[in-house]
Amino acid sequence: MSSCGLDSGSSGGGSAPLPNGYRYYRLFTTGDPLPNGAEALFLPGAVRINDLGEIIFHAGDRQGLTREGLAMGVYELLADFSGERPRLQQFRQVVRQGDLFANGKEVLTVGLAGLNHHGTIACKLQMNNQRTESIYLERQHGLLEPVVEYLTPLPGNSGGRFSASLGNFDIYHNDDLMVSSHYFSEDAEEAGEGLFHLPGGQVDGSGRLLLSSGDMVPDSAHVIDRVGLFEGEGLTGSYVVQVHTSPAYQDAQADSSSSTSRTAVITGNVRDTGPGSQKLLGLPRTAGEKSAIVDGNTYYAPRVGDNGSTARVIHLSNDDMALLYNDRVLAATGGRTPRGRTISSFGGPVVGPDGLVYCVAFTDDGAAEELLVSNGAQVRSVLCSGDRLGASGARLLTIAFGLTRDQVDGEGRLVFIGEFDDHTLSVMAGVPV
Amino acid sequence: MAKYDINTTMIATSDPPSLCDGLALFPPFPTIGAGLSLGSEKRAKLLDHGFRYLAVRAAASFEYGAFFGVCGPGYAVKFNLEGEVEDFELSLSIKDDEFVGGFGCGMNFGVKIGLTGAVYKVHWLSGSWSSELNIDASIELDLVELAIDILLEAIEAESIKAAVEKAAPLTGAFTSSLSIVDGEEGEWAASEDGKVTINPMFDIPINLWPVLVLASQAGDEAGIGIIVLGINAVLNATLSGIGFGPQIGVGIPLNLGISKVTLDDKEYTNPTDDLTNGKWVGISTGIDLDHEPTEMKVELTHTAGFSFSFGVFVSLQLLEVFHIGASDKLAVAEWLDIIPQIRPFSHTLSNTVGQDYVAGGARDVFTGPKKVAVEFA
Repeated sequence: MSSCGLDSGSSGGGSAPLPNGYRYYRLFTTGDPLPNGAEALFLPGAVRINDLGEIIFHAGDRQGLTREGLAMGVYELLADFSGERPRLQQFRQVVRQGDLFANGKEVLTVGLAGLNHHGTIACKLQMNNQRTESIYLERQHGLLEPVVEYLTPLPGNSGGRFSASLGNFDIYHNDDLMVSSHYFSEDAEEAGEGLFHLPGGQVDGSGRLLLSSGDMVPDSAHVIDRVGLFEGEGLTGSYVVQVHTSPAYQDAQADSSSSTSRTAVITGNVRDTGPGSQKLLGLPRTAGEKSAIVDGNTYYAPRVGDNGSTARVIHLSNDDMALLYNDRVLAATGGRTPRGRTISSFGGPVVGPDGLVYCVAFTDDGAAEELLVSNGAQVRSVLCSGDRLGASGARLLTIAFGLTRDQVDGEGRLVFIGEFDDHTLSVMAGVPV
Repeated sequence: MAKYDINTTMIATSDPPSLCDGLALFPPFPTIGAGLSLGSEKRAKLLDHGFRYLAVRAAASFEYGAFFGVCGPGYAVKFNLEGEVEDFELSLSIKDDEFVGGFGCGMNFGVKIGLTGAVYKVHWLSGSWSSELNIDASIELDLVELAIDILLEAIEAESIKAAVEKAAPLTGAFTSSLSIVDGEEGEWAASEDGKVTINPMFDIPINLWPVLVLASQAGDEAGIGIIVLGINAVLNATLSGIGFGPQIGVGIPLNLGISKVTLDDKEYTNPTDDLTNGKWVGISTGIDLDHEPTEMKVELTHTAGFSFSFGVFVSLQLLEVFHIGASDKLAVAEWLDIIPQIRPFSHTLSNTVGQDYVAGGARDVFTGPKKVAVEFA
């Protein structure tokens, strides 16, 4: 158990209250058996929680493997948080490399997975008989079924098909699915990369293309080249997306490579698709350009909460970063954490359902880490590396938090992967006290 | 009042028509064949970033190189003409026509990927605790070999105006090549305006990484496979990803008709290009033909466009927290010094009247560009 419990900033009148502290629990640890009996050897930093107490995470094992590497799988813990400490009620394998589906397809690669509050899981998979990746949905513990594959017709009866280059995805409220993918138009006369909204996780007439490469970045003289990371939010329909851009009017002498590429963040709403409905949240300016927005490339995933609040980490330079909450700077490298340590870097932010923003700050040039939570007015440190957690008394080395979305549930419980000095990794749950 | 029969005469670039033995769409026109153009290898750096990432300073770089050779763009044709010439009028039926237009393309593609960073301690990699994700690899790919099946899947699924097939290597520089063509048998004979029109066209992006991984696991890429599988093991376990690939765009609108037929030295032109009752009818001026013709020359006039773009996209992603990407596009036609021009151009094919075969491929005399179409009026 630990709670640094140190604050900085003024008390925020009207802001969501900050948690007083957390109790932390190690729910699953490397060395523990997976549902198939194999020993879990590695936990990448992907873990999520929903309001049903379902926690999904990736784990790697070597059972049956002859090649180098690990067989990755997605696993689900069902935790009961009603008692004094979390009680695990169920542990199941969602999908693992090597699984054989009823149609005879074998899972070749297990990619990222998502989880929503209805218990629907989305996962990117590549099958052994396919040269391309697909997005599969498991609705309420049913069978995993493909939703978006190479050559799936595009939504909205627009003609055209998804191409052989799938990007990211987000499964959220009402099984709405947001997907980035390359596509080509009917007759394949045009192609691009787009961000698609698929209501109910269905590729049908109700879905639509939200933005595409070749579109102008709102309020700028830049054009979208690539679609990056994004998050959708169900209650208000808001979404936030990172895009890689280039100048729309390029100097003929200019190099078209990375020197002119800039990363922007756009926000919009799937229910408001009219002209001007998308807004620019951030785009670094060049010399001579004036901008009211905070400057910097956004290489990290931008996040959005249920109340439409956004959080992002920007690179002010290659080494200087800032954590923004609704475009307000909460913390920046060179500044100090509530514990007084100098911030040298940040992890990815997570916006909780209540609008609180969570982010790991790396301090002392990467030697130490603190998990910060803020309501926009105050910043509180709620976990520090070096703390001893769990019955073993092992010391926490790494807080792998913010590497995916959906790491905080509606009750403010948070999940992350902890790395300990006894050479173990654990799925961790933090329960507010 | 002289009248002579024109027995079946084959006019062809080759039999069967072959694109690389065909006629070029744009100057400079080679003497024979659509010609082979080789571009010098181009290399470009698409990403080169150093930045703070989590607890470390990370770096990502991506370079690519591309080497192209094309046969064409051009067309190849085979058809029979038969009819009669009477006084100043030549009337010919087009039969048994076969036509292909497009180009053949060999594509070599190389990538150099660099990625250093940290996911976090990954002790299974080396048996000791390490936080480093370190990828530095150069991979040379036969693009045709990797992409052909995916392109074929798309073309089967959509009414794409192109046939794409794997073809024999254009030269020793390529292990395989693509042939991108359009055209149907009998299309010309069935047309009402005496024109055959095609437009092989597609624009399809492909992420090669999963394709490459699959090929490596199948053992198809022996040397490269070891590198690819090693990188993939790290990416797979850390839920990180590389995406890169080409976006190949092709468009070749082509419109072709018979503008002139010469019997020995007597020229017959069709002012409207139209067919009359399914026949091409040409009118001569001056003195009528006064002997059985022995040689037929057929002037084919075309207008065409050509776009061949080769886009490259790349993305590097670490879990669901970090993403960097870029794209680039090469105008390959310009690179190969193929300059599309919208004005009409003409080629002339010839054969002995009444000979229903061709020997030695196309017999073409480039007859120069037409200034404007109304010149025939």
